[in-house]
Formats: sequence, structure tokens, C-alpha cells
Amino acid sequence: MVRLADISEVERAHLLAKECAPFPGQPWVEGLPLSDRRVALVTSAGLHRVGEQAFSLVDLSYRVIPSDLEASDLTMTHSSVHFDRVGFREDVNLVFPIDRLRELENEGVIGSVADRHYSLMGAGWLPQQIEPTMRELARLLKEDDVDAVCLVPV
Amino acid sequence: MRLPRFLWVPFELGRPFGAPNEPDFQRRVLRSALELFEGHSGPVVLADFPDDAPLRTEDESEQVGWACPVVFDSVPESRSKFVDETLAEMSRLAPWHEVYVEARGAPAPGASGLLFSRVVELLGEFAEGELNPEVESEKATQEWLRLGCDDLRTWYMEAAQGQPGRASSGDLRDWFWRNTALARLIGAAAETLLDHPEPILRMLAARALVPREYFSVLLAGKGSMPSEN
Repeated sequence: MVRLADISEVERAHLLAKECAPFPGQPWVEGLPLSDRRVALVTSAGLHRVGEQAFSLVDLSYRVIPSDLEASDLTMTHSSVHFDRVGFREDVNLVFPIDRLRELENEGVIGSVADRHYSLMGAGWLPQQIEPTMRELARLLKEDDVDAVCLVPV
Repeated sequence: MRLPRFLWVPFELGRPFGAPNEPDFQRRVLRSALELFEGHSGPVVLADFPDDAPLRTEDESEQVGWACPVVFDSVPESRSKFVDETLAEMSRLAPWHEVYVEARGAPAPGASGLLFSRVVELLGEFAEGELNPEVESEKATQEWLRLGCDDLRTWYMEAAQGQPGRASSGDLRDWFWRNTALARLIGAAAETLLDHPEPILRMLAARALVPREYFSVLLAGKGSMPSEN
């Protein structure tokens, strides 16, 4: 998330006016040491395989990104006038750090990398609208024995 | 929103791991986030990542004084000229895009499914007041339009980075929205779409075609913020 001081006054005012209702509870679960955890990535960068259905402007669906997918097979159909795709096109790890995650696995920092990761469209909906999608993702992550998820907002 | 564990990073929007092709830095960010799982003082752990993203150039002095050497003409007299201006501009930038591709490899194809020149023509039709141009796309208007504009803007940014010197992404953003014929064309199309009968297209024009801070520059008749209905 950018510093508010680093964006324009009109955009700053827009962001500060957003309603971000707190979740009703305060989930907190402690678990295994990080070195024993199986880790997945969930990005809101609107990534998907080239040729797969693009995300739409208001989209509550998700796409599956297999862990062994080549970066060149990914495209981004989240769009925003507030950032450009150049960085992603140069290096997918800027928004989806799959290579970095593998490196941490090789170093023993994490236990393992999940088989599947997930991507969403990071705009156009309110948090409560995306809840059914996220519950579905939670079920899929459990099936993959994932016990740590890094959510990457873009 | 009281998420259980949150690492705040000071990077630009669209760059949550700081900078491309900086594996050591990206790994530090990821490790800092994942190590929040080791904390036992929740609920709610909010940590700050301490460092700014690394500059993308090996020679930081090159950051100073970057200026796109392509010379742009003055604002066209009529809206139809925006299209000609934009296509000519793209011809001037094309060699720089080739330099970019030679240095960094061919990027993925655009997402709109339309030729860039076709997107420019269609933007011209909107700019001239046409509300429903005929389009050879199965995508809804708001989809090919936003993806097409993003494809074009990305291509411009890549072309600009093929030029000598190194620009910050802030420089590139300001250059694009203040100085290019394409930005003026998008602004002219957005002006038409702000009055479109379809609410989704009015919303697109108000929020997703031109950054809010450039409305006064690019939407001559709509200098103030439009409503987002």
C-alpha cells in the first residue's frame, strides 16, 4: 500500500472516504513454526493463464494458478489508472512472488510451497461481497493441506 | 479492518513487492510478511516494512532530468485529429519499444484482443460523440475499452523505458497523462462516456479511464470531479 503522502490530494481524499467496516470478529490462530508450514499465495492482481477467461470490471470469481506454471503463461486483466502493468510484465514476482517462495522453501524458511495458488480481481467489490468466494478458496486451500496464506493486495 | 497479521509496505500501488527484478529485496519483503506467523502477541499484528523500494537503475544519477525525447505537437484543433496525432505518436515511439523489447525480451500480448490501432480508432469514435461504435469483439464495451486503454498505456510506458536514461514510474505517469496525444484521446473519449446512457460506462469514464488528478488537464469540459453514478 502506497504512502498517502505519495499520492495526489484528490486520490488521497477518495481513499480516506472509503468505508472499510471492521470484521465482526478478530480471528487469531497460532500454529506450526514457519519452517513446518505449507504456504500458498493469493493475489488480487487479476492474474490468469493466457487464453483463460479475463477478469471483468466487477468480478467475484477466482482463477487457479498451479505452482509449476511458467511466468510467461500468465497475464493480468486487473486494470487501474493508478498503476501500470510494466513491472508485472518484467517480473511476475512483483505481484506474485512464486520464485521467492520457492527460494524460501529451499532455504528451509518455510516447510513447502502449496500445489495451487489463487488470483482475484482486486477492485470493484466490497469486502462482504467477496466473502463466499473467499470461503470457497479456504476450502480449496485446506484440501491442499495449506496452513499459511500470504494475501497480496495489488 | 483488523486483519490478524498485516505487513505494511511503502511501495507504489501495483508493486506490492517493491520493484521488478530485485529478487533479494522481494525475498526480504516476503520473509518479513511470513515471519509474522511466528509472533504470539495477537490478535492484530501490524508491522511496518522499513525500507523504500530500490531504484531500478544501476546509476542513480540517471534518475535526474529524464525527459522523453519524442517531441509532441500542440493540442489538435478537432477531436478527429486526436486519432491522427496518436497514430503518428505511436510511429515515433515504435523504435523505442523495439529497443525495450531487445533489452528485456518480448512481453506478453495485450489483453483486449484488439489491434492497438483499432483501439485508437474506436477511442476516436467515442471522442467524436459516437456512443455505440461497432466492435469486432465478444467482450462487453467496458471490458475491451479498459483493457485496450491499459494495453496502449503499457506499450507507451515500455517504449519510454527504451529511451536513454532511466525514469521513475512517477515521471512516466506524469509524462503519459500530461504530454501524450493518446492521453488526450482517452480524455476526449471519457468526456463522451461520462454522459453515456449505460451506467457501467459512465462509471468507467469517471473512475477507470483517466486518473482523478488529471481530469482538469484532460477533460476540458469536465474540469471538476464528475459524479460516479
